[in-house]
Amino acid sequence: MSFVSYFARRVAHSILILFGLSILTFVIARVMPGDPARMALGARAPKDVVLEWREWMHLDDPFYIQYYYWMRDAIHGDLGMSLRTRRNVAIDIKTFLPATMELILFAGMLSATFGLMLGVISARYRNSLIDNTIRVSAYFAVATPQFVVAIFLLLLFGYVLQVLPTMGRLSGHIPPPPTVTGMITVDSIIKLDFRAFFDALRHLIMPGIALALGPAAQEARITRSSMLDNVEKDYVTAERCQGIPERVINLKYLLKPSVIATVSIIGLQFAGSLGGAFVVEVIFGWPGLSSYGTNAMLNKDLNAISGVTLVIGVAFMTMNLIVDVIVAYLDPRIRLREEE
Amino acid sequence: MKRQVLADLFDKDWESFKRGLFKFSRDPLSLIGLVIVLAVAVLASFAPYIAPYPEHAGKFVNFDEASQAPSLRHLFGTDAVGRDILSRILFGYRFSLFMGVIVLSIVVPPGVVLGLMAGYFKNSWIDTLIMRITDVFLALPRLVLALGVAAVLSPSLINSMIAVSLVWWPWYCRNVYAIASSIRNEFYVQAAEAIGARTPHILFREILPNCISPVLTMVTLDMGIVILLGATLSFLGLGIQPPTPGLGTMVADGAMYMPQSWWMSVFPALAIVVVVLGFSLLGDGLRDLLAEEKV
Repeated sequence: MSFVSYFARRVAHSILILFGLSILTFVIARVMPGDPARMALGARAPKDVVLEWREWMHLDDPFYIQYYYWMRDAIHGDLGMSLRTRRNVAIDIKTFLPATMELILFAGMLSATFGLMLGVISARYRNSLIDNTIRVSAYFAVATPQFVVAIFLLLLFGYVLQVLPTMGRLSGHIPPPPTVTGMITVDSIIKLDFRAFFDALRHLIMPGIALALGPAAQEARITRSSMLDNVEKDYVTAERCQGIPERVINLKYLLKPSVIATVSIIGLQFAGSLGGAFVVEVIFGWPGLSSYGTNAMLNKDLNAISGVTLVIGVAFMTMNLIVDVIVAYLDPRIRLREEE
Repeated sequence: MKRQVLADLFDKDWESFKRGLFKFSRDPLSLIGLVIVLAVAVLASFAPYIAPYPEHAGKFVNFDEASQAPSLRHLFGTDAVGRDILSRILFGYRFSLFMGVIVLSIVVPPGVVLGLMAGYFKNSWIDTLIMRITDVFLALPRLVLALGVAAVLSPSLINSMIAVSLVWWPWYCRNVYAIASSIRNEFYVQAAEAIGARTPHILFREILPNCISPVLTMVTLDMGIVILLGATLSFLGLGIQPPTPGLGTMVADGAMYMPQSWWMSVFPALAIVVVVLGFSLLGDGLRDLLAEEKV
């Protein structure tokens, strides 16, 4: 299968899934016990207002017609009104998404860099003290839930050492840079406002580490094991016989085929951090999409719940698609296998 | 003659099983995992007899002993209303393990059966239908979908189990699908088809046995992750509700009294790490053991 047709097939597949996902999110928000109109208007609203609202929201129509209206509005960027903020959910999401993207991208960079580095070191010095230390710590890191990491970081750096800020994205006394992307670090670089940049970066460190620790450990483990799988291969022995230095073999010839597994894990973990962000944002008071989503869930804000779920689903799927395409590009065997 | 062949086969399997068991017993990490899991299981089962203050697991208030640091009287300290943290952790383990066991027993049978069907009828409409639905469920991060469902159903222990189950079955479906679709063309499956075996026989007698060890490994590894997800739900206020002691809830409640009363959230947090670590070590050991058995 050529690369282009593989790509086309994956995109078509994603669109199909997106359709299913929209049904799922719609169903989640509608199976709720209780009358949505009553919940929106309150217990003391007069009966005729409730009936009018039901009519307006198409609540008396069959399920598939309700879905049709919801989908039609969603395609036009209208996700309905949030009961809590009294604004359109789409606008709320636009406001809160950049903060989450900033956090996730930062955590993704951290975990990819450290995961790959530690994995390579671990494989290079296999069964040494360094390797064993990395492996045992990786075990702990994978088993530790993000909120536990977050709490320990908060206790250590926020309260005991008091070197890092514990809440929010920017200190109160620093004026935020004008919004371009909505990501404070990027915006402040654009404006060359280094004071704001370093302050925003300091705010990013703890939530970033909390989000990146588990993925970094997982990536290190995968990198190590796939490098060790390849170390036995004949071509490596051949290179060694030719007298190529061990360092060059490791970094130039061994890393490349080994990194394919890591790339797909990095992508999966990166997409998965959309879920982890829910916990981390709540702990560090990070005003992002996940904080918004958690509040919506605790308050049973239906439109907001389906909107957030849908947006996260789309983001998650897009990331997975990108990863699949990159991996298929790197490794032709995957494209060929698909054909069977 | 036939009996001899069977006996040889059995001996071979038994030998490799013993070899695997030996390897398992020499692997310190797996043994640590096993010990942790057994210890937690015992502590959870006998919590009412072991816990120093079993009555502190529920609605109990004693402001005279509120917010006490760890001491001999209260090894892990007390919370803001004077309940013994250690006792509450032991009861928290009870609910965590209960949730893990229930969720996995709800999830594994349908996931496995659907995966078998989709894999055996690969490229038919059954495959398409089952796997496309599975894909939709896999298109969201587990935590997000579980949170959404738990929120909509109103937070409680039962509803969080429903939410997690709804999120979990597709993973079994997909893994079993991969195995089933790779062995549907094996000779013994074709032989069974040729002599006219019924579909259930082929699915459950010919294909299913190949899936048992991977599923067993997955269940062990997943116990830890289900417990973790349950704790995360209750941490966010969408799982176990107070006064029932949930490990996640305890961490969240304790976080409000940071950093003065650090013990309120640090010990429950460590309790979660220990149990999740135990299951993941045991699961990894089990995977090696079962992989060894195959050789």
